[in-house]
Amino acid sequence: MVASYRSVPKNSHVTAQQTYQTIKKAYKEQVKQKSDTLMNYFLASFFVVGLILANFYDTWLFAVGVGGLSLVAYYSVKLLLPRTETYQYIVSIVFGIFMAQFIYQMHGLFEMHFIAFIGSAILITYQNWKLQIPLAALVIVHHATFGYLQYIGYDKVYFTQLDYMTLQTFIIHGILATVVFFICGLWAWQLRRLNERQIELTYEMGRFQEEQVQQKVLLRSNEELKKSNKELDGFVYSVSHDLRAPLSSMLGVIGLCEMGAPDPFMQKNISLLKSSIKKLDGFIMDILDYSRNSRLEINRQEIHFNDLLSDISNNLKFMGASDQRNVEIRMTIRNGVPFHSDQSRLSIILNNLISNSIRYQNPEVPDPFVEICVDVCETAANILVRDNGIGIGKENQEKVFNMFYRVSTKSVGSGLGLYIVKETVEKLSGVIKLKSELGGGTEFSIRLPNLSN
Amino acid sequence: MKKAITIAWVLALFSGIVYIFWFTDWKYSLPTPIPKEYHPVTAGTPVDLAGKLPVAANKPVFLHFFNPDCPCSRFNIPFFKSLVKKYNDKVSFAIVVLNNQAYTAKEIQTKFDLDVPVSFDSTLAAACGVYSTPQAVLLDANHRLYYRGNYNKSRYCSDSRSNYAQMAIDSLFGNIPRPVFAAYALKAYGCQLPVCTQK
Repeated sequence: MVASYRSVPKNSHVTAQQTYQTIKKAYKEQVKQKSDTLMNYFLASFFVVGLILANFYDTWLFAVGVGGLSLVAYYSVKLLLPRTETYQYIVSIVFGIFMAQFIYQMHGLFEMHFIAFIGSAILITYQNWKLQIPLAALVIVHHATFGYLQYIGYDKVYFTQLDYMTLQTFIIHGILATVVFFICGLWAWQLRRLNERQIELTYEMGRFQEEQVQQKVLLRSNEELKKSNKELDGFVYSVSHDLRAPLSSMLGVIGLCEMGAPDPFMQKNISLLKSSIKKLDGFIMDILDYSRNSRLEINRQEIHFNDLLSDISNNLKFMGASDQRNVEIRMTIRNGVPFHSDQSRLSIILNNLISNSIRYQNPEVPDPFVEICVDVCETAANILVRDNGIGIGKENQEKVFNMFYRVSTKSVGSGLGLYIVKETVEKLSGVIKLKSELGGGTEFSIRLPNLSN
Repeated sequence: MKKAITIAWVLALFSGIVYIFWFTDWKYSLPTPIPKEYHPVTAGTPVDLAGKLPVAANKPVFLHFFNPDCPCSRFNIPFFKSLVKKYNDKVSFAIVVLNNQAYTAKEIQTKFDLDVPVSFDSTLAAACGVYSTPQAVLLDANHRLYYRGNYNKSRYCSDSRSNYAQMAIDSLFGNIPRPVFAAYALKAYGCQLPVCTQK
């Protein structure tokens, strides 16, 4: 009897709630329709029973009149107010009327009181305990009125007198009848509650199954993505590596040409060629760094910041363009405890940051410098790379870590440097922050965890 | 608006049902109105049955005043049958039909499933002081009025302490002393007699 589960769009709580409500509504409608059909049969049967009983004492007018008006009341209310439950309450009253009709038709036959209980049981089908109320009220009020009149010895009316109908009997009679109505109401309530719970469970089960299917699909695509990423990394690495070899050969040949070409025009062209090849090599080096970072596992070792920074500064001392001034590299290192991390990755990070400081020095300041402060403690190393270079405008600060982002077309470099720095810091489970002002220098602060354990 | 119309409509229908209950049942809970030209007939008054009913001259007679169209009369049939079954050898039973429809004696006997004399003479009602149905009239062996009244206090004949008609027969044969019949016994309940058009 429970409405079937229908698929629910994922990640949409509101829609899911609506779908659940729709299923519940559809179920209620189903109960209503089935019960209405049943009621047609029961009411027709009651009417026919009335006609059969009319044979006993020729109560035809009564059977057709009362039974007919009851049916007209039920069907006309159902027709007039089809969207409400009013007609269901009418049927509850109609069962009470049928009971009275049958009692009368059978000349006070006491057993006809059972019709009220039959009606009460039939009403359970609507799964609404409140429907018991009109029937119970009709029966109880009617009996209580007559019972009371009889009890006080009212002699103006001439109704059934029963030897055994004492007050005590009447009270027991009333209690038992109330219990029947109460239990039927309870079953109706419980039936609705259980069915609603079942709808809920079926619905939840459907959702759960769908989520599982989605999760499986997600896992599979994740695996596929990992595989293709790995393949791409491998491809990038081997291509970059293979590209560097011919570039090195070209540089060698160009060196030879440079020595054997006295023509200044040729010298200038060879120099341009050399600079382009170096730029290309730098770009390939960047790609290799990126590829290594994503491909290789962390190689944990003790870091000697003094040695590391000295090597870097020595390598970068003459990197600036010929028209650029030398940049002073200042170092402050406080390392009371040993620091462990991946040396090659740390080198990539510092190389990129310091070379940027040299590359983007401010021509308007008299003494360009880059200051590196390292502070090591047991849990982490805080590295500060600060310069008095041209700085980065607020609007560009969020984007500088993006892949291939360059502040302007005049910028030299591949646009990969800071992207690699960020990727590498994250690979080492660290964080990087940028503080800068256009024309006021740049400050990168990095916090890397100590991987000593 | 639709709601108001529905309520009014349902109330009208239920009022119709209540009216049917009143018309066929509840109004008989009240004493039958006494007709204007009614003349009370006291106990001991002789009732002349000569030529009206084929009954034995020296036997008590029990007249059942019956109207097939009266619901109370119809409901009373089983009880009257039980009296006939019990006292048939001591008392002459007869049915007096008070109705203007063209019923035959055979039809009435079929309704009761009894072979008792049937009279359509409405003057018997006046002679016995009967103005409603069902009413029981018991005449002693000399055909003097012994009891005229209701069968039972309850119209469902369910109260054995008020089987007045039966008590009257029993007292007539000296089985029990003649009871003092209360208002419930002598004040007629049931259907009014139809306006008589003598056939």
